[in-house]
Amino acid sequence: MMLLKVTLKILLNKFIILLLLFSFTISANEYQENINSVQKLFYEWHPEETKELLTKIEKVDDTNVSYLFLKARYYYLIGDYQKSNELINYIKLNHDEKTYSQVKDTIEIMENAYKEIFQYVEFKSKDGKYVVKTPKGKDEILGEYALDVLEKSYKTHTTDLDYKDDSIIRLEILPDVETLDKLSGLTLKEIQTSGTIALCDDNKLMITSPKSLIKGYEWLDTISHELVHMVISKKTRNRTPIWIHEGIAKFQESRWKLKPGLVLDKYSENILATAHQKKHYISFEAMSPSLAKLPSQEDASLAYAQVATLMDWAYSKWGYEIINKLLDNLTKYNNDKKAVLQTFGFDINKLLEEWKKHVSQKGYKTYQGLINKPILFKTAESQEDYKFAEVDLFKNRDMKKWIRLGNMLYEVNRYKAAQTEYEKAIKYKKNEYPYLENKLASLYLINKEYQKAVNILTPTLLMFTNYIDTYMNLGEAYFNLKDYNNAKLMYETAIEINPFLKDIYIRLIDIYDNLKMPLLKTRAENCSNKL
Amino acid sequence: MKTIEKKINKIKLYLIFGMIGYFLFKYLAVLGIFSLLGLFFTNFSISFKLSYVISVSILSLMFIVKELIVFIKKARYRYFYLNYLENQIPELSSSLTTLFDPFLKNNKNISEEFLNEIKNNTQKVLNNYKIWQLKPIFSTKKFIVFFLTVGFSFLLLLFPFNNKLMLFFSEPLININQNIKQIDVYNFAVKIIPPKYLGKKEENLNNFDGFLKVYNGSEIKLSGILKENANKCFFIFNDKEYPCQISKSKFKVDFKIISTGIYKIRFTNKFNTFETQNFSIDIIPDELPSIKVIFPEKDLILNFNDTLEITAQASDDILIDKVFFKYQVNSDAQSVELTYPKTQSIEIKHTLMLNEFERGDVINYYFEIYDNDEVLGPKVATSQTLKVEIISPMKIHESFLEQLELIVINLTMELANHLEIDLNKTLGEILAEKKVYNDKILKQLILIENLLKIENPLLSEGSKLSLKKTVENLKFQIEKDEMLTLKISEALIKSLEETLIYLVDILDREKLELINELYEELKEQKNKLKELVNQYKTNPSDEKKQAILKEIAKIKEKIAKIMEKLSKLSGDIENQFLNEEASKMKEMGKNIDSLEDLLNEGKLDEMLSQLDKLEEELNEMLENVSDKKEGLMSERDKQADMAYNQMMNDLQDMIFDESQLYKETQKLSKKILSEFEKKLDSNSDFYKKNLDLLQSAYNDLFNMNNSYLDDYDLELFAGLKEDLNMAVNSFKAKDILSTLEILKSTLNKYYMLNTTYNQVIKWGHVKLRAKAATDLKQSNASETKVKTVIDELEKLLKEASKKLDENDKKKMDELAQLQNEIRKKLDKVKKQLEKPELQITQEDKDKFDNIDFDMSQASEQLTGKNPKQAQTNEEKVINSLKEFSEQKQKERNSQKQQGENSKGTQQKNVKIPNDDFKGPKELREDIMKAMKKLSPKGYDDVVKSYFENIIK
Repeated sequence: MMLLKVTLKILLNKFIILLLLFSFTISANEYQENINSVQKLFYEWHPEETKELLTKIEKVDDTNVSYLFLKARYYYLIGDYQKSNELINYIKLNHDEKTYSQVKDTIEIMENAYKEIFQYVEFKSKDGKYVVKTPKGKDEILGEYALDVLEKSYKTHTTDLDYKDDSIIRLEILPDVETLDKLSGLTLKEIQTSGTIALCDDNKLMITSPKSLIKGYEWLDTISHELVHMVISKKTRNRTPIWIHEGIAKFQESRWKLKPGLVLDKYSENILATAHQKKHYISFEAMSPSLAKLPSQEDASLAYAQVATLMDWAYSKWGYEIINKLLDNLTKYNNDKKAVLQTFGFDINKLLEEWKKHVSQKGYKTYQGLINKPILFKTAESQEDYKFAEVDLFKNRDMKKWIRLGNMLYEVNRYKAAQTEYEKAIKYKKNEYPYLENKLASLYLINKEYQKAVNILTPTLLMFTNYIDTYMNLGEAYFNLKDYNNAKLMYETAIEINPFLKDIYIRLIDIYDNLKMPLLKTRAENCSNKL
Repeated sequence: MKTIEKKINKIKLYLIFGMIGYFLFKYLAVLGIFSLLGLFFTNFSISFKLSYVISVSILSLMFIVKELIVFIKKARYRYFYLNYLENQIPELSSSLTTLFDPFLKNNKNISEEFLNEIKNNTQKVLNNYKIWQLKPIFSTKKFIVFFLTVGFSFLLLLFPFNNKLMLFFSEPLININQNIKQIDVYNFAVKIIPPKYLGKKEENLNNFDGFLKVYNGSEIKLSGILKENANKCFFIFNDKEYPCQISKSKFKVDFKIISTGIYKIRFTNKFNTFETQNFSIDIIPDELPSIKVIFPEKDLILNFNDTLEITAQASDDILIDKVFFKYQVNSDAQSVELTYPKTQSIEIKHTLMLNEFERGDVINYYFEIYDNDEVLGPKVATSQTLKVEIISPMKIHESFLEQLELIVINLTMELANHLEIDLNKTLGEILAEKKVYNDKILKQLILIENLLKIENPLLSEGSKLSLKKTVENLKFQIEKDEMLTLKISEALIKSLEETLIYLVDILDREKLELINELYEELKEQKNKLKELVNQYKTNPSDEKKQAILKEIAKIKEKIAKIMEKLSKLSGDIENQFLNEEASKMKEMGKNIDSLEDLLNEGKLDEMLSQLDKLEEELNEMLENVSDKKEGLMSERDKQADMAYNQMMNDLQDMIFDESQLYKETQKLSKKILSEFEKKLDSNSDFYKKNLDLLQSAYNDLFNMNNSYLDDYDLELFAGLKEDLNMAVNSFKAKDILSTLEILKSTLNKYYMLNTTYNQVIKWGHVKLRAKAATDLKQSNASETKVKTVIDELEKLLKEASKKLDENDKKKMDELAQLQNEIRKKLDKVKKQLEKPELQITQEDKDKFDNIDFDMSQASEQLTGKNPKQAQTNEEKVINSLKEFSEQKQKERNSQKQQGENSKGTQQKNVKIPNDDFKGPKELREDIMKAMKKLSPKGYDDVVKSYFENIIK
């Protein structure tokens, strides 16, 4: 009896142990599944949906390093860097480094974000949906402009692309590309060679301040562009290949200020036309994982031109409906070839053929000797070097000679003589960016020949939409001609490229005053004071 | 009697008071005189004068007391005598009284008898008086004695004015214990032996007055004889006693003087009485030597090859023993002993050969001299420290560039002036304005020439040569411009523009050289800093930290300098639409500042990596700029190479073509020569006749007067004679063409000389006119003969050319055509010479003009069917072209070589092969044509290297 009792007791004990073991196995599987689900949702750009899952995981084991990391990541992705950082510190204190070695780089980015963004100034829309963070100081002037564009763009993009959610849209404006390097997975070299100045990653937008570039860049369009990526990523749960991503983003980037339809700048047109002539394109595969990883700025420009015109073609033929259908199919099939087939009714090769026909029909032109303004980062070049960059990009030796002579005379204030030399140079001018026209225009402005300045610069606007000098000189000319509407247009466009020029605001204050726009005047005054 | 007694008493009274008053008067008189005398000693102080007066007063008083005593003694005698009279001869008392009292003399109440009686009695008294030998109180003799005494006293009183005695009045020079018996010293002698090193003589003083002035370290031998014997003798100094030798009354003491003070000798006799003799000894100090650099007076900056002769003046009161020249270069201190005779005064000269140092060294130098003081040790003196800086190549170069930069600005202004000339002005006004601007340009060009004269090792020879040529060309353009009367100076402006661009490029390239040098220095400093940081890491100390901070400051400075230089590289004008924050310079500045913070925070590893990053960034920046500038320059170099190669090819082509032409012409010449040979046979009439004519023409020139000719004409005449002599020889050698050419050249000389003769005939002195007329006659005769020979020879040539058949003539026409084509090619090359890259001088252009002239001559001769003459011209052309080509080749090679040496550039000169190694002309032409065609896009480099290989 005794033996039986003992045997039963042992058996009972073993059963309990087995039962326990079984139940543990079940919960362990569930635990892992939950973790995987959280990771998947992060990948799909929907971190807000992970809240419940994380609570479940927490209940099982709130000390597990995976859970802690995911929780930290969750906070990071929704923008609560402080909480994220606290958890990271907890992990580091309580866990061996080996246990989180796989996510070490991610942790580093998260930590960097906390250290960097922690001290930034926050701009929030009234409804709290849009948040812009800028470094303290001059960059603060970007806040309001960025917030405006963010709001306008989001509304346009979500309407056009038929998507809506309640998540908060965050934009971080970083002081330079080094910070972008620290806060992203891209290396500095990749950033510099590809000319990457902005990113949409980790459920937020990041752009570098136009201040970090010698002559600024189209930073507001860039915000809009990156926001398109965000909308697409969220809508398709990150199932869109890069070529479609970039195509729609490029096509859509000006929507915050313009009607739908692609306005291809001449530089891109030239690159595309040249590539079309040579039948040399960037393949969709080469565009992956990022256009930023293409070997040169030219290749990146061509890739953009290719995919943007493709979307333009699709839009012009079927409207946004086809784009949204494509995105839906991508969500559904998670395969671009299948999605294309389902959307267009033909395969990707046919799509490319059709697009090429479209390019041929469009009659994109090549512009001999077209030189675009290079994107210059301070890490690679200096202000001094820029001097050479601007002049030395011109190939014609004679033109370069006259320009140099003109500059020498300009520097000793011999404007008439300088004008003579510039005028000699302009005879050789073909499709180079409007450096020379602006030099001449500045001489006309000195001589108070404002209309002459307008006449020489206006044609260059069609060709080169991003050359800040043109807008500044035209703004000045129109202002002096008392054409305040055009002057306003020029200076406001200048803000879209380089908002750190005090002259813009000084003139805008008067212009807004004349046009009776007190609110805008106040903003211009605030900006002027901050510079 | 009572009356007499009364009178006697009265006399007594008078006597006493009279004497008192008298002596009082005398005392006051003497006192007054001495006091007044005392006032004459104006050189003495008031206190002295007062003490003098007091002394005089005391002495005078003493004297008076003495006199009073004498008087009292005498008065006593008189008083006793009067009492005697009163007692012994009362009756005579009245008479005596009368006798003594002049007041009684006129008393009429006295009878004659009485008077007689008095007389008798008086006689008696007088007799008695004689017995007593009573001398009168007042006498002249006494008075004289009195004054002599006073005088003597006065002389005595003058003693205080004796300097030596004066000192005895003051304490404690003589401290004689008045209570003891005085021990007098006689014959106090001193022997002074100065230290040997002074080279001074010994000195003996027999009358030692207690005061001595001796050189430090002198030996003093004191000796003397005492009035009384003494037992002990001590020499005392600074309260320490040293025994001295004494033997009875003789004493002797030797001692060495080492400081100024009161020395004492104390003698003690057997009664233990002692006396101390004090004497004062002053040391004549051995003065410090002194030295002063006379030349240079101030710091200098000199060239590396300069010699600096430093002159200094040194002196010492005794003599200068050693002279050192001391200098310090960087932290390295050196001392050189200079040998000079040991004298009181020396003029020191020392030469510094600056080429024994390094360029850029700063030498701090001074002289140090020592005197020969053996007592206290040699005293040292140093001259002022001066500095000589050997100009560093970098400084010279920097200054060169700065000045060149200024010149560029000034030339830019002149370009502006030319471009902005108001063409609405009159031509005259414009030309005047242009002249002003051109003069200013010339001034700048002279400045460049002067700059190039300064030794500048960092300026490459290539740049130097290029600059020289640029200046030459621009100068030429200015000259040309001033000859033209055009409103616009197109060619000058073009040349000025090219010059400016060229200067700016040179400036930039040279500035980059400087920047690179600075960068190398920066690297060294960075390594030094790294080393310091590592040292600090292992063993931190404040000292090391300071050194690190210092090094950081230096690096900061260097980077700032590099940045400054970079910003001055020519490029764009300042763009107002740039973001300052994007400037690398600013960021680097921040990064450097952060180095200090990192050091203070102790983050040394971070600091080191930051430092590496800085260097990397700077390197990157320099490479960027340098590549672009070098790219610009290499573009220019490529242009220059292309232009040069083109020119050389054209030259070679021309030489080739002209040589071919020459060969063809030579063939035709040979035909004519055979005809010549017949005519010029030595026995032929033609030969004999013409030779005679020539010799006669030559002889005509002898026996001419010509005494009135000036130097120029005489030289001309001598030249003419020489030419004729040459013509004779040439004719004898049967060289018809040369003879003809020489003879033709004499015609101009005949003409000029004959003009002179005619002028003398017309305007000269009467006496000279006849002489000139004769000379003219002879000259004309000679000229006629020469002309005849010329005619004959030309005729011969024509006849000879008649021997040429139609084919030959056709051939010659073709050759003339070919020559013209070569001329056209020359013209093309001439135009190419205008290219600034070729840096062709006016001299070169003149050479081309001469070649062109010779070609035209050759062409003319060929057309005129004179192949022999054409051949001569062709030969000239070939030689000139070859000479020019070789000269250019040499210049280019040396320029390239120097350029490569100074910069280590990678470019290689493409050598043009000479005739022997040249490819066929057709092939070269094809290559040139092909080269002129545009290459397919993207194949530029391939095509270029292809052509280069072919050329090689």
